[in-house]
Amino acid sequence: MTMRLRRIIPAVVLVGHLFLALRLNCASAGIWPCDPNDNPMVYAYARLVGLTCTYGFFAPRVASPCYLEIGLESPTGTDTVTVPVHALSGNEGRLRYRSLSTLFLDMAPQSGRETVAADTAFNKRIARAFARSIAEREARQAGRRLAYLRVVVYRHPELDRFAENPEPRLITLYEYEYPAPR
Amino acid sequence: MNTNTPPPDNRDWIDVFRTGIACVLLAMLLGLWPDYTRLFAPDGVADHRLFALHQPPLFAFVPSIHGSVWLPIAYALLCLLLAARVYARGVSLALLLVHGYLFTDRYAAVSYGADYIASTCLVFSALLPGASGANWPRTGDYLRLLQAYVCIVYFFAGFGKLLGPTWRNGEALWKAATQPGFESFFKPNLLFLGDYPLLWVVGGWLVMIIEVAYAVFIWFKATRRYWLVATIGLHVGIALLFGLYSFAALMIVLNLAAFHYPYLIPSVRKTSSRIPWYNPFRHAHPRGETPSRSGFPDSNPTASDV
Repeated sequence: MTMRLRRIIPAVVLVGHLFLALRLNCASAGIWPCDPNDNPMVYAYARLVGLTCTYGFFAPRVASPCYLEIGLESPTGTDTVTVPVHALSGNEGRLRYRSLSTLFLDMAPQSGRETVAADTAFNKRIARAFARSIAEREARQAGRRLAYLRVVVYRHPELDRFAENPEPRLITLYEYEYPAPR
Repeated sequence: MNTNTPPPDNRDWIDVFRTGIACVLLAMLLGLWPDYTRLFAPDGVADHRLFALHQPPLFAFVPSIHGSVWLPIAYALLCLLLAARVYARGVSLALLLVHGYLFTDRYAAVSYGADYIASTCLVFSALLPGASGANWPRTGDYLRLLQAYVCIVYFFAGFGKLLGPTWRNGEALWKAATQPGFESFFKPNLLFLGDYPLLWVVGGWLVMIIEVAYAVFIWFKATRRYWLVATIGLHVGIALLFGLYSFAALMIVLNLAAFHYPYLIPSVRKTSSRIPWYNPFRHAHPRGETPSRSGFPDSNPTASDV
């Protein structure tokens, strides 16, 4: 390969990379919508090089407001604990777990929609499966029987009403009760 | 100290970029190490088949070796090689693949912004001239592409915030700073500031202005330094308040590599290079070339000097 080509090819790839970043961010902002299924190869490249996340960091949400609570049976009754029961030891691990819990938002009702899109229904089922899988593994690790699980959304007190009502609210998104053994 | 056109012989920014990215990724991995198996092993936090259902993996043809200790070890070794800028382009490409396999592919559900920014940084690192590219005089073209990328990141970060009402009315900043979920070693209780909503509105607008206007004011000599300081300050705040250390460090490296180091004029670099600890990012000199005392070819004494 000539020196000229060795210089040009990386620059052309980078220009294409920047164009794709622009395109996906415009689509994410609703300016120029695009369907990833139209160009699966381009979308696969975008996933590999980290362009699918787009850059609207902290907008509109700032962090996952979802928590998973589980009921663990003990000889004295049922203890309600927030998962993970045994806290992750590092900040990186905790951040990634918080990121995982964002999945639970898929269980929230899609207001303003008359029909629920198929992918939303699928995402809802995946989110429920994740909640049950996490809860069951936590219970197994604790060596106790799982009585129930509950996915709750934490609603922080709103800024404009903070003076009147500084208390946060918890809204249950999903609840599942495990049948007691016979 | 700053000029509008970066000096053409300045390649320090490439070294700063590569070494900085590698150090941040290594630190991120070390921070994740205690929880690695809990999050990524098949018997970890959730059934690993669910992760594949959530996002069908690109690397489906590669046997799943998640949870294996060899994967993070290989990742750490590649980071060390990149930090030392040994075979920088090839190592960057290998690191991009391992990073994708480990974080943004099958296990995308446990990844966050820093992972995606890191992937793009590794693409740049793989395509920027290597150490042996000393005979590639036009590094400025590559610099412009990196600068354009940083501007895209900030513009859309700010634009996304402008679109919704939560950043404009201060609600988002208030939640980010006070709601539980982000832990860091420095997390003051700011709930008492809920009685002063104007403070949060001003803060929210300040963040949006810094981000959206970055793509404009970072180019002018007169405003570049102030915008750079404001942006780095913003990231230091994000690191301290939200515990997003890796993300903040990555963005600071990007800012310094794109808009600080390229504009250092030769005399400043010359002075700084006399102090080894001040300027550790020296070029690897191609074999057969005798490095000058100060690291700059034009300072070599010539026959007429003697």
